[in-house]
This record gives sequence, structure tokens and C-alpha cells, in this order.
Amino acid sequence: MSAEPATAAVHMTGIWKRFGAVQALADVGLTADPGEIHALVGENGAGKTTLVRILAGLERADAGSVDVNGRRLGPHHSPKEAAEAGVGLVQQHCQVVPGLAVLENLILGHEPTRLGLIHRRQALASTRAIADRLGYSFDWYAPAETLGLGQRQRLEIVRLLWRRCSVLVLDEPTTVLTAAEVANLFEVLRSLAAEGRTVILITHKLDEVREVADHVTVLRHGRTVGRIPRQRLDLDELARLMVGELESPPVRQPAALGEVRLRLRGVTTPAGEPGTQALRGIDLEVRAGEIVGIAGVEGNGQAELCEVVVGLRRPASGTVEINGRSVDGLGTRARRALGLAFVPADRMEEGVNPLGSLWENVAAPQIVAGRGTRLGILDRQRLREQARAVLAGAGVKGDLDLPTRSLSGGNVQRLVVGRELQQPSVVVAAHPTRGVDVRGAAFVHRRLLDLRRAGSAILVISADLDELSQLADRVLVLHRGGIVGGYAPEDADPARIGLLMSGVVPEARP
Amino acid sequence: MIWPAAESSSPALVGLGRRALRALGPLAITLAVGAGVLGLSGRNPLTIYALYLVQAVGGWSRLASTLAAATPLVLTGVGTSIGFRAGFFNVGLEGAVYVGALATAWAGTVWGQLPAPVLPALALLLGAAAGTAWLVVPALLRSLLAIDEVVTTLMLNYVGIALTTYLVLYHFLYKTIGNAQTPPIATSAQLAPLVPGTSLTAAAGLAFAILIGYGLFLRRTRLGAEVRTVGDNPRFAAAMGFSARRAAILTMLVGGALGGLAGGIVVLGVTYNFTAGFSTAPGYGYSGVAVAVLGRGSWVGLGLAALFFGALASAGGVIQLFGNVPIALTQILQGTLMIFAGIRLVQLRRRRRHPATGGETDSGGDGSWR
Amino acid sequence: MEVILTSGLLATTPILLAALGGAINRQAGIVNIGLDGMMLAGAFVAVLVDWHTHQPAVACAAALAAGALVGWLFALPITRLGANEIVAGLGLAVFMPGLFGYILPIFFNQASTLEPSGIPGIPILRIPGLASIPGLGPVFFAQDPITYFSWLAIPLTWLLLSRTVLGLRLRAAGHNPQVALAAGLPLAGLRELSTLIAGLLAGLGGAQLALVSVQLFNKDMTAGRGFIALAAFYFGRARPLMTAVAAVVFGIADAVSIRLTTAGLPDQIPEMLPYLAVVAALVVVAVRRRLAGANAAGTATVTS
Repeated sequence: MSAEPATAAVHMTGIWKRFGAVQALADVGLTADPGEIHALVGENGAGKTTLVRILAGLERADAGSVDVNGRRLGPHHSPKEAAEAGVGLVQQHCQVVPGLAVLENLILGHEPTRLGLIHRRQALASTRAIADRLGYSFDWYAPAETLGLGQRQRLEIVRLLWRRCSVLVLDEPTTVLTAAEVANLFEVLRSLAAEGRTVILITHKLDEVREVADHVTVLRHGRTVGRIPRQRLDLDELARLMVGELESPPVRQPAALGEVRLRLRGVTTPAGEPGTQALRGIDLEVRAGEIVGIAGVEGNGQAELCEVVVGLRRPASGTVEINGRSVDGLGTRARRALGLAFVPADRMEEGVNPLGSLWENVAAPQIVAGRGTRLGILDRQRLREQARAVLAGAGVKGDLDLPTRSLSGGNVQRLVVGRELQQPSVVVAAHPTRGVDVRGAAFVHRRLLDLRRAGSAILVISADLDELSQLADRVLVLHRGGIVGGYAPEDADPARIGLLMSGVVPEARP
Repeated sequence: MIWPAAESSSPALVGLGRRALRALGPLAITLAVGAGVLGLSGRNPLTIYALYLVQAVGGWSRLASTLAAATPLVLTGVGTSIGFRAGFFNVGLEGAVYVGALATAWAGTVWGQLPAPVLPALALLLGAAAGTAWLVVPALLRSLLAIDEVVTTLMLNYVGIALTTYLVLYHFLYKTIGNAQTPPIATSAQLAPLVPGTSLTAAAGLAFAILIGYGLFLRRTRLGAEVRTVGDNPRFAAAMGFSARRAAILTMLVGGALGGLAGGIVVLGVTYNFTAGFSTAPGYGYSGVAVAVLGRGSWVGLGLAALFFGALASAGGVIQLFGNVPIALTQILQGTLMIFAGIRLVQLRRRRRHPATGGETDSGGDGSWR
Repeated sequence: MEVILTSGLLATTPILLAALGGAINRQAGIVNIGLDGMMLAGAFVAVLVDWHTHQPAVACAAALAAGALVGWLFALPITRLGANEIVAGLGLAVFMPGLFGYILPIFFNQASTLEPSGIPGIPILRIPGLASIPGLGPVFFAQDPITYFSWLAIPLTWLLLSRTVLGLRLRAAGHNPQVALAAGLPLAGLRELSTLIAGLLAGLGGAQLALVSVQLFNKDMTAGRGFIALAAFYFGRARPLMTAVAAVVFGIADAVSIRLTTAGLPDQIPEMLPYLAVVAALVVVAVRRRLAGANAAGTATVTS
């Protein structure tokens, strides 16, 4: 390993990065050689994306060094410097400019010209040569917005090669691809590596690692926990490294299961919408007094599942029942009136109105339902009193009239949880403790467990497996819009869960 | 969001102070541009501005004129602002002013035998109804087909102006005069001046009551909360079950009603008939847009902005007599104020209305229309 | 018929030029409601310069420059200070007539019209041979040079937008600002430049308005042509050819409405046409998109 700095295509050492209260990266290193495909794996929030954003100059490290092709690049380099050093990043959702042709999108910013006009023939010839070599074909003059996500990714790869990139970084490229597209992508990555380029591939999917990676770097909670060459690759060990040791679930009373409060039957959403994962025949039941966890890598349908239950997205087929009654024709307001509560993942966008006052944010469900209003006029005194009580119960301090954006993220979540988790019949909570401090998380968990005891039916979606172990009576694993398996927290096997989440459906084990 | 995201619910006084400061930017630029024009044409800006001040607020009758000029602008300002508050850019009040004015003039003439308190009320109601009806199409297109209300309302303004001209000329012309105008309204339809020699009528009271009602509506009612929430954060509103569709239809129709009412008030209290093209530049509706932008959503801000515009208009009307400056100076000031009305020193992007619909934000031509 | 077409094409020119400018502006991400004011500036400067130089060509160049200057100045509050383009555009439509209503009495001792005597107009250029083709000749080949240029401006606009680096970058700035920024393009500068181009074309349209059939300036002489241009580029979805087609149709409707007035018939009906056409076109597009969306199996999110 000691000879590497001289020859490595990418050599990052001692990288530290902090976002506010969160230490995203702590003394992380990444070394990749020319001609290799280097997989960077880890759970959500492990720091993978932050690390490559630092490499690409999109983020500045607090400390550490970055060398590319033997030259010191930074830790504080600009995106332009990174590009000039040959680093190119393919983001997960490649953006295109709609209304511009595919070719125009590709050459934007570096247009070849002749006689003051764009030299389209030359641009086409040079880019097509690259595309042909990779086995890609495009309708070069079609509007770029007609490209699917897979095509956009290919376009981006061609663009980077056209810009003479020697280090290609792909951030979870396969989550948006079909199986055939994935196979094709890997073939291309292999040929690029064979040309002597370096490919850094971020992924959650261990079967992909097994398939293409020459080296694997594993991150967990912002630290490097392993660097494994291909020949020593063992998927079970890799899964364990990624997931870590799961905390054993707390001893608690077994669930006193009641009737089914939330039921999804064969829920499917249309495929092909950019930026969303279609749900594929979700069947799900949550009973009174039960917490069901949904585990999985983000972007596998969690957001869509929430939206379908809450009434923000209409399924193409299948039904949703709340308290035994079909709610397919009902909007969000009517579903909430049936006792549905929702703790959304994006709390600043969906959980609160940051411009609204604290009391109005707490009173929003009452206002929507027309409670605490007389003839359409708000009973401010009553609503404010209620809000004061809710905020006190949630441990949020602050003037009732302050705008909600003045709260810290943790307090916003306390507000949301305090508001939503009063006496709901059914709860959908998405990533309820993400980015929340330890005491805040404990408060949220306590609330959820209290509601379980009180007989609510609770669906918790989380990328944090420890959290699910703490809370859930049973956990289902979501992958590519379908439920691919499940487990009980008592006999959770990190390796098996890691494989399930990675899309490797493990053969039945004893 | 039409305004910077900062306001809406800061504690009353601090927020008010901050908003006042923001509104001073456009005012300062306007006065500077006016001073430049005056200076280049050999006039002393200070003298002229002092004259404006005297003509706007110097004495009861001048004050009354300013209030009278502000009256329709309060209504169009509120009518535009309520749409802004829900996140909809309704600039269609100019058209509503025209159809409302014509409907009011028609009622004031045809129903002439009705007694005094009843007739103006009915005529204004009809005007408001006509203004409401005028915006039904854009409201439905917005809420059902997501067609940009900026374009439809703007386009319909020109249709409204041409349509009312046509109706006056071919169906409702006062033939004894050469102009394109309707017969004078019945005496019982006229709103009596509160201060002799001015156009200040009871309508001013109505307008300012509506202004306060707007403030109370937003703060104190369920629908007001819905409107604000939808405007502030559409995704949160959807997740809570607030109805964006209802907010769109409600605010655009209320805007139309207030535009129609403004037109009707001008007819009953100022012109006593409908004259084609009576809403001269900048136009009551368009001034209302500027008032709404300057007022930044608060009822106090709207009132002040309307008073300022009203002062410009009423003082500007007589400035030529005393100041040896062309009356068009007022238009220069009004135009400059409109150009700079929405400036902010800290740039904030207008929030996309439907952030969840996909990757690109296309604000350009081919892909989608504004 | 021939007369209507000839006068229709004459009336089309300022609308066409402004509409093409508006289309370029729109492609770069700014809806220009101030075209009318830029046209007015061009008309005024054209008359002023023609009066003093007796050179219509110089007057046209000055009109171009005046329109461009107004366009650029108009863009600055929008691109740099966050002014709202719609309100600002409405403001410019108030400001410019106000400015000329102020200048004329003070510097020219006129209320609203500047009509210097004996200034040369822009001549009609009969194209030898072609102009004598019966029927078509007098319509298409006996027009003024600015009108000929306006026709040429259609392919030129297309060329600019789709074949030049500048055009490509303007479109990128308008259609996806984030990507444009990521590609290192100067967003504000591009938008200002596009507004400058719009002003330039609108200013030239103003010169045609002021120096071809009449040789005078009136502070209300644009009579909303900038807004018809707005309707035209909306209708044409900011594409050069469709925008031009709309401008020609609306221009001819404008000419027809003037004829109707003189015949004592309602001219307001053709006057409404451009604006109704835009609304109708928007509805057609939205319905078509909705149907296409429904076929693609409901991308519809519930809005309750």
C-alpha cells in the first residue's frame, strides 16, 4: 500500500467534513488505481456522496488532502479545477436542458465552432465516435427531455469522456436503471477501466460490487471501515461491515394486536416518471397496537409508499384501506379525518410551513378539519392554548408567534411529532429521527411506543436499521418498489438484511 | 412567492419595520429617477416634490382627493394581493375593472327608477358579479388544467377592454355625445361626494373596510389560513390536506369581484358613466398589481402603497397647473415605481409551484409555457 | 384583397420584429411585456435623428441603438435586483409614454406629437422585375427595406437560436438555469443580452412605424403593438417560424380592423383575436398534454 500515492489515480487521505452538528466524514481515505473499478459502499448517511462531492470540488473538506493522478489537487479545489484534473461526476439524477437537442446538451459550454456557427458536424462526429465505442446510440437531434433516466446517464458519460475525463465517479448509477441497462453499464465501465481510466462507483448493492468491483471501500457513519480487494471479497462480511452490529431490541411487552387499521392490497404506481420509483404490488397490513418497519435503501419506493397512503399520489391499481374502509377516492383531508397522522421525511418542505407561526403550524390539522373554528372563523384563543400544550408536551420552547423557520431542525421535528402524534388511529412516520439529536430521537421513539401501547397502528419508514430494531414489531424490506422480505428484530441477521436491501434475495437459510 | 420569503409572520412590529424598509427601496429609486428627469429638464426636483406633497396632503380637500384616488387602488391592490398570497399571479383585474364598470353603468342607467340607497348597492353588486364572472375562465384553467394564470389574465385584459368598447359603441351608446360612452347614470345611482368638489364618497369607507377585512380574513379565518398556507408552502399544504384548488379559485374570483367593484365605484362616484378606455395608464388594475407588490401582502402595506399611488395620481392631475411641469411626470413616476416595485436586495428564487413533478425546471419556451 | 395584404404586411412589420425579439427574450427566460415601450423609444429616436441628419438609414441605426439601450436598462432590475418581469414590463409600458409626454412639451413645445416638416421617410423599395408580377408583385416586392429585413429576420432568428453558440446558451439559460449555471454560463448576462436584442428589434420596428407611411412621432403611436407582439410569441411558443406566422396573422387582423373602423363596422372583434388566440392555444396544448399524460398511465398527483 505504501507505493500507492505515486501511482494512484485518486488518493484522498484524512478527509474530515462536518455539517453543523453532524460529523459527516471523520478521517476518511479513498485510494483508487488507474484502470480499476473501485466500489464505494455504505448505508445511507455513511458519507459516500459527501466524499465524492469533495473529490469533484462541489464540497470543501475541513481537512485532508486530495491527489489526482499524482498531483495535489486540494482539499479546497473548485469544480472547474477538478474537471481540469480529469475528474467527472455522474450524479444520480442527471439533469438535462429541456428544449435543447441531445447533442446541444452534450456540447453546452464547450461548443466547437466554425465561421461563428456551431460546428455541428464536428461535434456530432467526435461525440458519436465516443458513443459508438461504448455501444450507445442516441437520437442526437431529439429534444433531450424525451430521454429516460438511463439515457441521460449515458449522455453524461459520453459528455465526460468527450471532455477527456480520466476519473469517472458515478453516484448510485444503477438505482434508476433496468436490469438490462445495468448489465450494459457495467460492460461500459469495464471497457473504460480497460482503457486505463478509473471508475469510482457508489452503490448499496452488493451483488453489483461482486460483479464489477476490483476494490471496495466501505464507509460506515463517516468512517472508513474496510478496504477490500476483489479476491478477498465476501458478501456476507461486506454486508456485516456496512450494517455493523445491530443493537438488540429492547425488552418490552409483546404487541397486543388488534384489528387491521391500515391495509394496502396490490398497490402499484405507474413506472417511467422521472425521479420516482414505481411501486410494484405492495401488500401490507398494520394492526392496532403494532409498529411495522419499512427498511430499505432510500429511493426504493419509500416516498411513493408514503404518498399513496397519505393520499398525495394516486395508485394505478390496488387499494388502500384505513380502519377497514377503502380510501381510494378520498383526498388527504378526508384520510386525516379518519385518524391518519403523517410525519413526513422532508420536514421543512412537507412537515411545516416555515413562514407560518408556531401555533398555526401546530393548529394546522384542526384548521383543516374545521375544529377550533366557528363559522369559518378561527378560535384563536383555543387553538393557541392547544398549541401551547402540544409544544410544551413536545419540549419545544419559543414564542407562539415566532415563524417556524426560527426553530432548529430538531425542534421542528418535535413540533411535527407533537402535532401529528396526538391520538391517531394510523400513523405513517418517515425517517422520524433523521438529523435529530439523541434526546430528540428518544422523545420521538417514546411517543411512537406510547401510541403503540395505546393501540395505534404505526408504519415507520427508516433507513436506520437500529431505529427499526428499537421500534418495530416486524420489519419489511423494500427494494425497487416491492417488498422483498421481512424479519423480526429479535432474530435479525445483519448479513441477510444487508443482502435483502442490496437486492440479493438470499436463499432460504436455516 | 411574489415577495421575498422573509415576511408573513414575523412579530408584528419588527416585521412591519422591515417591510417598510423594503418598500423604501423602490420609492427612493423612483424619486431619484424623477429628480434626474426634472434636473435634466431644468427644474428643481425639490420644488416640484414639495409641490406634489402640498397637492397630495395639504389641506382637507387635497387629502380628500388623495383618498378618493386611492379608493379603487385599495380594491385592486387587495384583489391582486390575495391571489399573490395564495401563490397565484393574477394580473387580470384590469379587465375586471372594465367589465365591472360597464355592468355598474348599465345597472345605474337601466334601473334608474330604484331609490338611492338601493340602486348604488345593486349596481355595485352587479359590477362585482361581472368582475367575478370575468375571471372564472382563468381560475378554472389554472386549477383544472394548470394553465399559467399570468398569461390568461393578461391576455383577457385586452379582450375586456376591446369587448367593453364594442358593447358601448354598438349596444349602449350615448348618442348625443361623439365619444364612446354610455348615457349618464341616474341621479339616484350617484355616490354623493363627502367633501364638496372632490370625488371622495362613501366608497372610500367601503374600500378601507374591505382592506381591513382582507387582513382579518387572512389572519382569522379558516379559508385565510388555507390561502396563506398554500401560498407559503404548497407541499406542506397538500400534506396537511389544504386544498390548493379551492385557494386558486377563491382568490382569483375574489380578485375579479374586487376589480369589478373598483370599476363600479369609479363609475358611480367619479365619471357617472362608462367611457371606453376610461382606466387610463397605468390603469386601475395594473396600478393594483404595483400596489400589491409594494404592499408585500400586509394590509397596512397595501393601504400605504395605495395611498401613495393615489397621492401621485391626485397631485399629478393638478401639478401641471402650478408647477410648469408636464402632467406626464406623474406617469414617469408611476412607471418607475412599477418597474422597481418588486426589487429585493437579497435574491431569492421564486419557489416552483409544483416541485414534485420532476427533474427540470423549465421556465423557457419550447418545453412548456408560462 | 391586394390592398389589405399590402397594408397588412406593412402593419405586420413592427409586430413581427418585436415578436421575434420577444421570442429570443423568452427563450432566454424573460417574458418581455416592455416591448411596446422599446418600440416607442425606437420611433422617437428615429424621427429625432432623421430630422437632424436627413438620413433615414442613420435614423434606423439610432432607433436600433435606442431600443437596445432601453432593453438593456429594463433587464437590469429584473436580472440584478429581482424585480418581477411582469410588473416591470407593465411599468415600462407606463414609463415610456410618460417620458415622451414629458419631453415633447418641454423640449419641442408639442403636446404629444412630433412632426418635423419635410423630413425624408424611409422609401418604398420596388424590386425591379419582381414588383411587376401581377398580384404578388405589389404585395411582396414593393415594401420598405425594414419590412424586407423583418422577413429576413425570421430565418436569422432561427439561425441565431439554433445554430450559434450564443443562441444555444441563451436557450440553456431560459430552459434550465441550474444546468446553465453548472456549465459555467453567466446567467444574468445572457438574459440581459437577450433583452437587449429584443429591444433592438422592437426599436427597429418603431422606426418603421414612424418613418414609412408617416413621418412623425406620437407618444401613443405604438397603440399596443408591443402587446400584440407578446401575444404572437406566446402563440408561437417562442419559436421563430410560428411566432412569425402569428405576427403576420395578427398584423393583417390589425389592418383589417383599421379598415372596418373606416367602414363604420366594429373593429374590436379582430382586435380581440390575438389575445383570444393565445388563450385558446394554451387550452389546446394543456388538454393535449393532459391526454398524453393519461395515456402514459397517469403521472397525475392528487391535488384534492
